[in-house]
Amino acid sequence: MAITFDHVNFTYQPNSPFAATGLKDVNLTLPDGSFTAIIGHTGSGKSTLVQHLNGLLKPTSGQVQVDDFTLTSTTSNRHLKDLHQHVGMVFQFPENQLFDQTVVKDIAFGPLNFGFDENTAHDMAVQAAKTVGLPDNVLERSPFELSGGQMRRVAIAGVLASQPRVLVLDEPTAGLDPLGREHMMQMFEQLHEEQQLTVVLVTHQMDDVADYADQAVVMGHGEVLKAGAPQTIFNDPQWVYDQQLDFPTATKFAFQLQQKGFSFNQLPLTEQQLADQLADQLPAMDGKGR
Amino acid sequence: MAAMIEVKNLTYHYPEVAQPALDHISLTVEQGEWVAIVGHNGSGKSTLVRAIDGLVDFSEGEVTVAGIKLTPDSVWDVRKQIGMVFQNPDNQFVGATVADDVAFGLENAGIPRDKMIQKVDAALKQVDMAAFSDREPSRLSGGQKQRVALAGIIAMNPSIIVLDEATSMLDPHGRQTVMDVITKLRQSEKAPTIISITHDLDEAARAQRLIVVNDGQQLATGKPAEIFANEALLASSGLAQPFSTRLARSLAQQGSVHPDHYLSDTEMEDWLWQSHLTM
Repeated sequence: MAITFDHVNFTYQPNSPFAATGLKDVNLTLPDGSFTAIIGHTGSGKSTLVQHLNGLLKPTSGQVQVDDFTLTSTTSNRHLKDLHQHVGMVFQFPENQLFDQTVVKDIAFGPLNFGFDENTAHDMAVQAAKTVGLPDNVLERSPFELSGGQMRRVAIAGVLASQPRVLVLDEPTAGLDPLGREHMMQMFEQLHEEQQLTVVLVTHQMDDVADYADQAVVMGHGEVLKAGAPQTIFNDPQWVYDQQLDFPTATKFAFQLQQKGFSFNQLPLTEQQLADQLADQLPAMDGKGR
Repeated sequence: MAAMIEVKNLTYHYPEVAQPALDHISLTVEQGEWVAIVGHNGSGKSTLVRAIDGLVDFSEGEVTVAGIKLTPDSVWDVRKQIGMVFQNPDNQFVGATVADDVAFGLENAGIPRDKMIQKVDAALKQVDMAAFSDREPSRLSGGQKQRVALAGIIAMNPSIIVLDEATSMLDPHGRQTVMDVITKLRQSEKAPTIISITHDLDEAARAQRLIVVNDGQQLATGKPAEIFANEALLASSGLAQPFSTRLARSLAQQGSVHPDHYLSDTEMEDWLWQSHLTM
C-alpha cells in the first residue's frame, strides 16, 4: 500500500490556549512495499506523524492518502475500520496492552473485531503466533506468565493476525536484549520481504536505519527536515551532527579511521560496507593473523 | 578491599514455575566496585538484585550486605544501604515538583527541614538537574527523569546504587547523560558501590567487572575486555558482539589481515592503521 502525505498540518487542542503544533506542512511519499525509518528527537513529531497512518489522529488540514483511502479533518470515525485493519500499529512496549486469558484469545481479538468468525479468527491467530516464532505450547497459557520478550511477541502477533498491508512499528525493540532485538528486526525484515509489507519504523537506533531501511525521514519540530536514502542523509555528517542525531556504529568507526589517515570513497553505514572498503587498504592475509 | 555484598548459594523459585529463577548462585561485590550484571532477558539478573534488596523471599542461601546478614528482622537495615533505579522513568515519581520528589526519601527518614533542603540541592547539582528543581517531573525527558530518580537516591547517601536497566528506555543522548552522572559520582570521595544491570555494551564496558548470569547461575566473571573476547559466552548471555569483533570477522571473509584476539575500538583503530602502513 502506498502512502502519501499532502500538505498535512496537525494542531493539538486547536482553538484553545493550549494549541500546539504537531505537524507542519508535511509532504511525504512512502511507496508500496518500502521500508521507511522515521528518525528525530523525542518530541520531533515522529509519533504524531505515524498516528496519522491509521487515523488515530486526523489532519487539521491537508490529507493523507493510504492506497485509495483518503483521510482528512472531516473523515468520520465510522469509515476508519478498513484503515485500522490494513494498517497495523505496534506501539512502544505493546505488551502493556495484553489483556485476555490465553495467548491465542489475545491474538485473535483483532480478527474477531474486524468481523471474522471465531474459527477463522482462531486460525489467523495460530498463524500469526507461528510468524512471530511463539512455540505452540504457550498458546493456551496466560500471556502474563510469559517472559518479557515472549509477551512482546504475543502483542505483535495480535497486530499481524489481522493481516495488515502496512506495519507501523514505534521503537519495537526497546528494552529487549541485543540478541532478542536482532531476531525481532530480522522477523520484520522477513515480513517485509516475503509479504511485501510496507514497513514504517520509528527508531533511535541508527544501525537499524542503516541495516534495514531504504528510506529515512528526519523529523524536527513537526516538520520533515529531510527525506531520502539513508546514504544520502548520512552523507552530510555536519548536518546530521547539527540535528543532534547519532550515526550508525560503522560510520562512527569510519570517522575515527579517517582521522588516522584512511579514506573512504563512500561513507560506510554498515560493518560490511566498512570491511569492503578497508580490505582495499589493508595487506592480504599471508600467514598473518588467523 | 572489604566485601560489600556477599551472596552464598542463593536459590529462588517463582510460584508455580518449575525452573528456579536463581539456582545456587554465589558471588561477591567489593566495596566501591562498579559491577555490571549481564545476561539475556529472563536469565535471573533482576531477580538477583531484588533478592539482595530483600524484595523476594529466597528459599535457600544467604545474603550479606555491608556486613549485615539479610533476615526478616534486618531487611530495613539492609535496604538503607541500597538505592535502586528501575527501568521505567514514569513509574518512580511521587512528588509534584522535582525537588519534592528528591525530598521524599529524606522526609520518610525524618531528616530536619533545613538539612533536607541542603541535601536535595546538593543531590540535584550532582545530577546536573539543579535548574529544574521547581519543574513538574512528568514534563521532563526520559534521561532527565532518570537523573532525578538518581538524585533521590544520592540524597539518601546509600553505600550501594543499583541501576536495573535504568537506561534501556532512554534515547542515546539520555543514556549518555545518565552514564556521565554515574562516572562523575565514582570520582567523588565516598564513591558508592555500583551494580548496573544492562544489555548495553558501552554501559557494560564502563564497569570494572562483569558478571554473566544465565539460568539463575553465575556463568562467568571478569574484566569487560576478558568477557568481550569470549564469543561463545557473549552469545549465551544475549549480549551483542562488540563492533571490533564483527569487523575483524568481516575482514577475514574479505581475505584481509585481521587481529586474532579481542581489541577495544581504539586498539582496533591503531591495529588497522599499523597494518595499513606495512602495505
